Amino acid sequence: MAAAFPGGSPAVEGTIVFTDIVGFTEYTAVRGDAEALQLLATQDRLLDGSLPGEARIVKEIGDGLLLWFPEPVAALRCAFALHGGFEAESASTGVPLWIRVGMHHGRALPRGTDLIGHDVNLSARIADVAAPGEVLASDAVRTRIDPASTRICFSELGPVVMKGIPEPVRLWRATEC
Amino acid sequence: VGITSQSGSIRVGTSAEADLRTVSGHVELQRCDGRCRVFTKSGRIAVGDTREADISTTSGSVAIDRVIGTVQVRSVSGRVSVGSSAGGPVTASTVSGTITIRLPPAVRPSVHSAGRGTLKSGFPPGDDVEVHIATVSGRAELVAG
Repeated sequence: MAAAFPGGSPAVEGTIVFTDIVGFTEYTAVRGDAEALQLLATQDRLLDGSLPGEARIVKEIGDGLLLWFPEPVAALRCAFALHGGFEAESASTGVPLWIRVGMHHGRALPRGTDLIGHDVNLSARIADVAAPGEVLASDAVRTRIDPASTRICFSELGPVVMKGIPEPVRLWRATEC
Repeated sequence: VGITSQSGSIRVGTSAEADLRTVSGHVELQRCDGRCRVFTKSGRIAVGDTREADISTTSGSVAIDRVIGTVQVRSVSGRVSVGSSAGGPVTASTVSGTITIRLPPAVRPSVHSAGRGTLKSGFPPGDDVEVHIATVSGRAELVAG
């Protein structure tokens, strides 16, 4: 359930995360609506177990999610937990399941329970270029992480030109190390 | 070499390592001496010789001529064709696509399959190379070649 941001609050700063279940449309086509619903319930369960209290599910977008975290370490840990959960589900069911995740740290304007703004759009674009099983992050995320204390590592993809984003964006693949 | 594009196609000759990704374009990589990682959402992927490969696509096709070491392919609905020298484990997963793995004729693979799809293998079982196949409704085949 989406939670509202405080009424009348100005722009909120935090880590904006988009997730997507890869192949959900095809999965639904071959396994049927009931199993697709179960898959979403699995995602909900995995999220319940990994979403810290101060984070928010901003909205569900079909099989995808827009999440907000006050800081990026929690966002990355949640993304890794979701990946691990989907991998475990794949191993136990024999069904190849992956999610892909993109994130950016910035500011957004609340609109009811939703978040609006350039940094939200940028986060969505980052998720677009994430491969199945990947967590991609902007430089604004990476620079807020201390790899030594968090055991989160980054490898650079380089500057990426993204549709509708005027300047190339440095992107990083985030992994647990 | 690392290239990411929203819609353009990517063509690379020889590279030590490669990370190539495009949302709707195609990717062609002739040779990669190290690890190559390629992702497209809908474009086709063609890789020549590579040492290691980590390939993902949603609806594009994947054709890898020859991988010397480890190869992992994730596909949702496209056709996947992988040639492996059996020098490392082969992992291929698809929701509804088809998978063809080409292995050296004399190899005796250890084949592990999961899901509800069909798997056909004419190889005698052994432990020369690990092959992991997962499909929801797709077809997979191991052939000599």
